Amino acid sequence: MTFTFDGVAMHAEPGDTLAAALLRNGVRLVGRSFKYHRPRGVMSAGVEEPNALVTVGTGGRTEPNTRATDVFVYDGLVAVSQNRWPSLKFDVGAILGLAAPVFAAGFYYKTFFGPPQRWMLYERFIRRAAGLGPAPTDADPDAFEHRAAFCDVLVVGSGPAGLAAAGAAAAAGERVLLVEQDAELGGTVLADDGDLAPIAAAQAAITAANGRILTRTTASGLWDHGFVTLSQRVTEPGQPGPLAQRYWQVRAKRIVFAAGAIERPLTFAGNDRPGVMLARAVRTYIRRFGVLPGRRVIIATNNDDAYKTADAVAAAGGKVVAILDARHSFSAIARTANQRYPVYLKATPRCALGRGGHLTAVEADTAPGRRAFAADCLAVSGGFTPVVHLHSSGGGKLDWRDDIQAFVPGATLQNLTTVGSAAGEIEAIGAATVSLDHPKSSFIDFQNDVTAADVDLAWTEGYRSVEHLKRYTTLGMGTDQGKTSNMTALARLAGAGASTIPAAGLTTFRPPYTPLTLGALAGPDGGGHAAPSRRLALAARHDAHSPIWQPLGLWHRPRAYPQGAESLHDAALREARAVRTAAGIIDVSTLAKFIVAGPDAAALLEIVCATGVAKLATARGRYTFMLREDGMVTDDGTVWRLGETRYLLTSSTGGADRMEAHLGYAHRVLAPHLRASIVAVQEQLAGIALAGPDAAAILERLISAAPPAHMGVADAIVAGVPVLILAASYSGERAFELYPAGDAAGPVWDALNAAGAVPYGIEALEFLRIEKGHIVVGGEADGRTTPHDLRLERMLRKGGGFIGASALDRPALAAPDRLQLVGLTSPTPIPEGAMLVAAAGAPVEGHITAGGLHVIGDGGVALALLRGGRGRNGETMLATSPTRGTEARVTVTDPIFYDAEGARYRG
Amino acid sequence: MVDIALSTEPAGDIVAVDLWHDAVPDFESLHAVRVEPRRWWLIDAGDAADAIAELVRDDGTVTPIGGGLFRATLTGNGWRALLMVGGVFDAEDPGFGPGDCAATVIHHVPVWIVPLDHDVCAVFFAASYAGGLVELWTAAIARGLA
Repeated sequence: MTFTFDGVAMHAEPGDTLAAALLRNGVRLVGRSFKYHRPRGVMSAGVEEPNALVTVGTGGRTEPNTRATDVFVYDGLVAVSQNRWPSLKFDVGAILGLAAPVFAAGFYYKTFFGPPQRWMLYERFIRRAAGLGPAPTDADPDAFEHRAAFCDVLVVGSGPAGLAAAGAAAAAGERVLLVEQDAELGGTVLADDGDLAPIAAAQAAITAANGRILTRTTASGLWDHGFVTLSQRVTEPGQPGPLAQRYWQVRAKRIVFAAGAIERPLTFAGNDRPGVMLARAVRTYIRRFGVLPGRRVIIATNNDDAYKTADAVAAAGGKVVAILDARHSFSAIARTANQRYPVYLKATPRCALGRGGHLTAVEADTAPGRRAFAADCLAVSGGFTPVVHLHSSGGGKLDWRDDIQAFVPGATLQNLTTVGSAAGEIEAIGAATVSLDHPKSSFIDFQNDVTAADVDLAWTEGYRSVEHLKRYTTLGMGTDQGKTSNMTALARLAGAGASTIPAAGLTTFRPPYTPLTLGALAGPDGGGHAAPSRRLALAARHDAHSPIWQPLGLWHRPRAYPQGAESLHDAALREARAVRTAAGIIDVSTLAKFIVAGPDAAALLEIVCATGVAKLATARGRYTFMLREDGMVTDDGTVWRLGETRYLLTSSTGGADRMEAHLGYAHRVLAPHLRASIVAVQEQLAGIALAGPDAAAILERLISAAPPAHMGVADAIVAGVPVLILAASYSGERAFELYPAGDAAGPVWDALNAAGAVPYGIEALEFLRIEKGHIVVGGEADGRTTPHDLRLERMLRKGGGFIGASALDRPALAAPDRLQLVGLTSPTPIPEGAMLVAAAGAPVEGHITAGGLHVIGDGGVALALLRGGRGRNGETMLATSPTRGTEARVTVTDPIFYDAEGARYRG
Repeated sequence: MVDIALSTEPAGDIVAVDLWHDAVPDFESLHAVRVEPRRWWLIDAGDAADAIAELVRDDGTVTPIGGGLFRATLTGNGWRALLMVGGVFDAEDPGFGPGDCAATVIHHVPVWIVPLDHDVCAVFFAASYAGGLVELWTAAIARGLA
């Protein structure tokens, strides 16, 4: 396979990570550090990599800050180094390294303060310096998917312990989901030439038990109740394919964490140089990828595990120059190794020397004294840190282990077990505190260029809490989240205070475990509204009139049907005038509709509705509204008695789901004994409102019968389609709502349109309803208003018994300064949303909830909520909207501006 | 190999039967699906609706609902995997099969999943969601199912 790095074509073997491929091609210098632009190379072989961050891919597939150790090379991969100019080898920014003493911990806080104008200046430079790789500006062309999964046992990690756990669970017949962040199963087995047989055995057992194995999949977070999120790379970063990533949402009865442990680096001067690598990583590159990272290798360790690396180096033809063992005596393994390699006890590296991005020598303290070794690779092992991230982020406690100098999983409330090295089954290490010759060049957090000197300075300046240290120094804040630095930093902090690591504390582990692509979180809805869109049954009919569509919740409704170059306002006014003078039709299919039926249907409705229902005659309807438990109006609509024990309840579009829940609450919680059923028929019945002085005549022609009287009900056939006709008016004109079945509504609309009714949209409807003073849920009924506030109190059922009735007696709801519904008139348009004040600069006393114009005639009208508004008719006020720069003088009136007697809608 | 075919159509004649008690009436040959503890859907009820109304006259109510519903038929062994995409319900549970019904959400859309056979499943949902849901399903099938 071929790929490019900084434009240079290179060769990779199948299965290579980018890091392995770069090492294979002799590339040691891979990137520049964040703050000081220091040369950096590959340090690890896993997701903990802090140094080898590159940008992968092109165009919309560009992925910055990708760990070279966590991307598998594919043919044509394009990788580019970051944070350098003009080139990786010659980076002008490296001059910042000379100013390192200035950029010590807290530089940002100590420097960038002062008046706001100065901040505006600072911001330019800070923004330019921030970040590593630039984010892509093109849209991501790839698809992302959300996928649910359930299992008896989720095993995270496929090393020896994970495979054993998964295999055992599968053998017991449990549904197993095994996830591995690598492309291959095996974990450390792959680096240690271990026995591969358990891998095949576990695979077979899991498959036989209908389990699932996911590679390239990282458990990004553990949440409550065994809910785990997984991020699966279906294609590699920047690689085209039908699906980029799949975000799994797993509900597991039991979880086994076998996520292993992360090797720690050692702290000494120049420990960030290319060529200084983790010992196990060196071994991995040799044994798994067949790449020898250096010909002359020094091992520096405080444990036995690194001796395996010496063997790997020697077997691959490299020279083990020296093994620097910090311990004071030989372990059995070290004693054996001493027969093959020069092993130095009480030996630690003091300084890594290099030239041109390459390691050339290592100065070390050995028992005989300080000496220098020529080497091109230094493999270090400061022990291992169990991966406790998910255990901890899932609410688990951590316990301290002195022998491994690390935290291990403790008590947890979740049904999870941690096994293997993640549980602390790792090499004991020799505890050693080493003084540093050059703390300012001895790095602890490689990604954020945090040195030992920075930690010391923070301590000196009073930062005792590790949480404060983190924020002051940016330690552990990078894409690696301090996977290699946290324990070293804690040790340094504890050492500064002559304390212990447990006493120093630990920062909080939070998901995601590794960086997560935002597209994976957005899923397939990316680019939309992350919510479904609901299409009207009559949408195609509306499209024929080229409407302006208005999103309303999940719905889209025609706002107006402009003709020619007509503006929205002009179109809506024309449509409203057609309703006032002739006839119009509007799609009201989105109204919530419920069939409430059964012997106790009326009783149930009287619990929900604040108006009377039981006395309603068959084939009659009435306006109604509903209250919350606290007495506030929550919705309104109409209730119709279709038969002896059968009612239709309508309510607002936006409150449909809420009303369904409200009805269910009333029935199942408050009155489960009632023999009544509630069936939502919002889409079973499409709705078309026919309104205007010609409406009755049009309908009579279509149904060949006299239409029902106002608030009457009739069944009829229109254009061959059975329809339920309700004689209700929202516009103030004689009007009918026709309800055919949702899948049969088209011919009804066509027939009404052909009969002369003009389609009108919700903008015109707004004009019409404002003139009539009809409230809207969410506008005037804004959740803070009572029936009295909205002038509905005379419709309340006197006997009470409905939800919210008892709350209406609270004294506060009778306070004189409550916001109350009023009408406003003005010679000019009244700005919607404007504040109501007595005069400019006076306190705000209310606001405009809906503003419009007289449909026929001049001047503006509006509805408003005004403090003590019911007693303020005749007052003049100022409606002012500073954000829009508009205002109008208004007069307070009753909230009805058209046909107050109701003569027109009664017909 | 995951194979699946998707077809959609208006749901047709469906009536909801609500009962006041837990006794299950004899719906005879009708395809009855229990969607709630005391609510049944009669699929393709057709002309039988009146007879059912008479049957449950003193014990419940009958309400037509099919006019507002769409029906997707998923054919092939991939139906379970498809319903896990954007879903929250364990459609892959081997115990979930013909005779069961799951009311859940997929891609934020309320749906009722009704397995018909080991390799056939019907999914019902409000007609207004049909366009978006079918588009997402079609795309998921084209990408390949896990």
